[in-house]
Amino acid sequence: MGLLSDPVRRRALARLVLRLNAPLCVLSYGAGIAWFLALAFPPLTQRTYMSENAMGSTMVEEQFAGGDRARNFARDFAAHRRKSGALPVAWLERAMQSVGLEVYTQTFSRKLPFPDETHERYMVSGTNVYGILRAPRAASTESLVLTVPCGSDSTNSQAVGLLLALAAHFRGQIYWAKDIIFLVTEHDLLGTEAWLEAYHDVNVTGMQSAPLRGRAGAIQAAVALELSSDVVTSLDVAVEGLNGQLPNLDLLNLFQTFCQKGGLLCTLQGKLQPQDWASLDGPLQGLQTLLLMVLRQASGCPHGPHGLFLRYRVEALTLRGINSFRQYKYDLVAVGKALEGMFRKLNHLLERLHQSFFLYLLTALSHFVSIGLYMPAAGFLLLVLGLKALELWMQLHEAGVGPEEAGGTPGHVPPLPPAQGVGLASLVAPLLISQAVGLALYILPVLSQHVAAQHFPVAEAEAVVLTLLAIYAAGLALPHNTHRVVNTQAPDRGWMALKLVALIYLALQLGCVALINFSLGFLLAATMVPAAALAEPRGPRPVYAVLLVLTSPAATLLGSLFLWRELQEAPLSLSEGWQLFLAALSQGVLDHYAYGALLFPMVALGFYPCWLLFWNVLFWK
Amino acid sequence: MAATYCLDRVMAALAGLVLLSFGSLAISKIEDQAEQLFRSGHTNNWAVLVCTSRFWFNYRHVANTLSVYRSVKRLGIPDSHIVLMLADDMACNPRNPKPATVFSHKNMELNVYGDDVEVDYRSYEVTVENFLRVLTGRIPSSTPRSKRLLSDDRSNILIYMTAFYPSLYIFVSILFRVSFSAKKIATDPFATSSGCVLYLVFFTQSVRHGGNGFLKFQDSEEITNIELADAFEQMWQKRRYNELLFIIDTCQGASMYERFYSPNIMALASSQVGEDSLSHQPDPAIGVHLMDRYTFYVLEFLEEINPASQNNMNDLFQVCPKSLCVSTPGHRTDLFQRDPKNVLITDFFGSVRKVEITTETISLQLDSEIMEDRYKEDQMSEELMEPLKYAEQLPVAQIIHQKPKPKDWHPPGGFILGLWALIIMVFFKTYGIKHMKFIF
Repeated sequence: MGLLSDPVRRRALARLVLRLNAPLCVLSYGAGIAWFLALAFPPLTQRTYMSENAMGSTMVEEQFAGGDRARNFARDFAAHRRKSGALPVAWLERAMQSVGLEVYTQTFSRKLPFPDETHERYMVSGTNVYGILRAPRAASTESLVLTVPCGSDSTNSQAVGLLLALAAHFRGQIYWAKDIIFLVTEHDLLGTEAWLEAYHDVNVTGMQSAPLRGRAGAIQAAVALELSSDVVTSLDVAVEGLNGQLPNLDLLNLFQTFCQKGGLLCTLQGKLQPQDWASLDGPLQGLQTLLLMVLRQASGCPHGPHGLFLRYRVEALTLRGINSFRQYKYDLVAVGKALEGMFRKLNHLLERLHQSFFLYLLTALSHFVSIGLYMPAAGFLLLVLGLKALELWMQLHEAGVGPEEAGGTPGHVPPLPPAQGVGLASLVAPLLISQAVGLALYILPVLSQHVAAQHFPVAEAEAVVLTLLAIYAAGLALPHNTHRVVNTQAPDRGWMALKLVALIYLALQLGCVALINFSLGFLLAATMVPAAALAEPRGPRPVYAVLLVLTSPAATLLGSLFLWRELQEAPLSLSEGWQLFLAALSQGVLDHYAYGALLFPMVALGFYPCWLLFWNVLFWK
Repeated sequence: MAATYCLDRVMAALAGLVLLSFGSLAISKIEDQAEQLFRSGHTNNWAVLVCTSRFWFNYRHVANTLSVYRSVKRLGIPDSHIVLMLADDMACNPRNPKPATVFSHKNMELNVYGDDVEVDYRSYEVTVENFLRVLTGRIPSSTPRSKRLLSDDRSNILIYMTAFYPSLYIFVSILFRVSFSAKKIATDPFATSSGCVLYLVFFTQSVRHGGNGFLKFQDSEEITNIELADAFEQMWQKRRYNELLFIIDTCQGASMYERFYSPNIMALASSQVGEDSLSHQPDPAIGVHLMDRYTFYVLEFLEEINPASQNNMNDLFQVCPKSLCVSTPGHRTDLFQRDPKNVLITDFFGSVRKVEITTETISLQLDSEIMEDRYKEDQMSEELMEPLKYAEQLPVAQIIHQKPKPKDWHPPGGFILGLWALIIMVFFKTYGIKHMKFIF
C-alpha cells in the first residue's frame, strides 16, 4: 500500500524522476537562487521588534556628560602608549583605580603557528587590564562587559578614553544590579581570547595565560568599542562572530533603539539604512547589505572582539566609530549616552537574552529575515543533489526501466547482482585517496613551513600559503592515479556509483553546514551544486572541467573577495585580488589556530575531498 | 443563597449607636437619617490587595497596589483588616535608583512605600493557593492573624488585583478522540472487538497578550476566572462576606469577572476582553513606568474622597473614560442587590463607623418592619425567613440514586456494513475492477 513499496507506483514515480530530472533540477536550482534574492523584499524581510520585556522601551535617562574627561583620558593614553610602545599597563591600572574600579591584570603569551604578516606578529605576549565595577546592592552573580581592543596598528585611544569616562560615570550610579567589567585587551583579539579563556577556565587554543585574580558573575552581554577619533560621523555595528555565530537579535534591537533615540547615524556593513521599503530602492539596498552579511558570515572569522564572546554564548556586538567626510559629526558624549542607555537597559535584564532570534539575516538595522524564511533557499539547492542522486540510484538498479523495456533488453538483467558488489569495492580507492589529499591539505602546510622556507626563497607565511595552493592543485592530478587502481570491469557503473556517493556526501555536508552557518552553506551550495550535478565522464569534458575548477572552494573564495569589494564600492584589480586572496588564505589558517575558526578544517577535510570526487568522476576511464 | 440578617445585631447596633433624646421635631427626617445609617448593612470592612507580578519592569504593579493600600488605609481600614500581597520587592531591588522607596507619580511627592507598610504575603508566598486559602479561610491553624481574612457575614470586602501578562504563549491543547470499533464477526472466532483510539493533540498559539480568562501569578502559575468565581461562591456559602467589590487592573480584565455567579458582588475591570491595559507615568530616572492608567485615575478619584463623602459607585464607574484609559474599563453589577447609586464609595474603600449624633428622639421601627422596608421589592424575602442551611457541596444522595444513563442510539452494524458495501459497489461500477491494483 505504501508509495515506494508498491512496484507499480514505484515504477511510475521512477519514470517521472528519470524523465523530468533535468527540468526539475533546473527549476529547483532556479527556485533556490530566486528565493534567496527575494529575501530582501518585504513579505520575507520583516521589521525587527523588541521581544524582551525587560528592555521594552528606551525609557531611561542618559546623564553621561564626561566628554572632556574622555578626551583627556584618550590624550594621556595615547601619549603613554607612544612613550612605552606597548599598552601602558601601569597608567591604565592607575587610571582605573582613580575612577574607583577593582583593577586586575592578566598576562598572556602565544606563539602563532607561523608569522602573521598582516598584523606583523609571531611570538605574542601581552597584558590585559580590566576593572570591575561591583554592583552596590546585588550579589556578584551576573556581569556585563565593555571591552576595547588595543592592537598594534589601531590606536583606539578614544575608545579607551570613553571607557574610562563611562566607568567613572557608572561608578557614581547606584542602580547597578550586575557587575560591569571594563576590559582593555592588548593585541586585540588574541588578548580577548586569552581573557575569555581564563575567565571561563578553559583552554581551547593553546594560549598560555595567567589565571584571573578577579572575577564577576556570569557574563550576560558584552559590547566592544572601537573609536579612533574625537568625533564620529556614524557608528557601524558588527554582529557576525566566530564560525558565523550571531548575537541575539534583541541586543541589536537595543542598539538600534538607542541610535534612534540619540539621533545617531548608524550603519550596518558600512551601508546607510534605507528608509523607503515600499518602493524598489529600499529592498535593493537591503539586498546589498544582505549579500555583504552573507559573505562576512560565511567567512567564519570573528569580525571584532564580540565574535569571540559568542562562543561562550555571551551576547555581544562591536561598535565602530566611523569618521568620514560627512558634515554632521557626533562627539564622544553622544556615543557615551548611547552606551549608557544600552548598559542601563541590559542592567534591567532578568534572564539571559533569549526571547528573540539567534539565527537571522539582516537586510538593514531595522529589518531581518528569520530562519524559517531563509532556509527554503538552501533546501531548494540541496533538492537538486537529492534528485540527481535518486536518478543515479534508479539507473544503477534499472528501476526506471519499465517492464516492456526491460523485456526488450534482457541482457541488462543478469549482470545486475555482481555489478553492485564491484561498484562498491571500486569506490574505496578514490574515496580514500581524496580524503588523504584533504588531510594533507590540512596538516602539511603548517607542518612543513620550515622545510619549505629553507628550500625556497620565501618567508614562512608565504610558504604556508604556497604549500596550501600546491597541495590543492596537486589534488587535481588525482584521476590519473586512481584509474589504474580501479577495477574497470563495469565502466559506466563505476562512475555512477562514485558520483552517487559524492552527491550524498556533498548533500549531507551542505545540509549540516547550512544549519550551523547558513551563509556558508548557501554560498557553497550555490556554487558547487550545478557543477556537481553536471559532472560526468561523457559529454563536453573540457567545459565541465572548467566549470568544476571555477566552482571549487578556493575559486569560490576568490570570487567572494571580488564580490565583497564590489559591494563595498571599492572594486579590486586582478593583482590586488590575488594578493588579498593569499592574505585571506593565511588569515583563514591563522584564525583556525588562534581562535578555533572551523572554516579551514571544514573545507580541507570535508568540501575539498568531496569536490575531488566530482573531479574524479569527470575524468573516469 | 439565603442572606443572613442577624436581627439581634441590628438591635444592638441601634441601641448602642443612636442616641435617643426627647423632642420629636422633624421626625421623618431623622428617621430617614436612621435609615441611611443602616442602608449598607455591613459592620466591618476588609481589603485584600494583590500584586501578582514579579520583576523590575513590573514596578508599576507594585506601585498600583501600594497606592490602593495607602488610600484604603487613609479612609480608615486598619492594617489588621488589610491583607496585602506583593509578589516582588521593588523598594529593595538593586535596580531602584531611589532605594527603599516606591513612587506612583513622577513628581515624586509621595513615597507609597512609606514607613508603615505591612506586607502580609510577599515574594514567593504570593501563590494561587495562598490567595484562595486567604479568601476561603482554609488556612492552617498556625497562620498568624495578620495573614488571615477574618471576615464575617457583615463584612464588606474590597479585592484589588493587578498583574501583568508576560508575552508567553499559551498552549491550548485540544484533544480529539476519534474512536471506532469493529463489530465482532461471528464467523471468525479470533476476531475480537477492537477499539482504536486516536488522540490528536493540537497546540495552537494564542495571541501575544494571552490571558482571556486567567490571571498570571508570579511567572509560574495562573488562576482562572472559574476558580475565582468558585472561590467567591465558597466565601458566600461560608458567610464570609456581606458585599464584595472586585477590582482588577490587567489586560483583558473583564474576562476575570464574567464567570462570577455569587450574589452581592460588584466587579470592575480596567479593560475589556481583547484589550490591553496600558501603563502611565513613564519615569526615565527610575527607568520604568510608575503606574497603570486605570489605577492612576481611580486613585486620582479616591484622593478626593474623605470618610464623609457621599460619592457613590456610579462615580467610580466613570473615573476612567476611554479617552484617558485607552482601554475600555468595564463593570458588572447584575449580581449586586443594591442600586450602585446608593452604594457609597466608603462602603468598600473605607471603614466608616456609623455614628449620627442627634438630640432628637426617634422611635425605631420593629426589626421586621425595617427588614420589610428594605426588601419590600425583594422577592426572596420569604426565603430569607427560612431557616438557613449550608448548600449541598457534594450531592451524595443524587449520585447514589441516579439511574444508569441510557445508551446513545447507534445505527445497527448491519446498516453500516451495507452502506459501505453500497459505496464500494458504486465505486467499482464507476471506475471498473481493473483499476483495483492502483488503489492498493
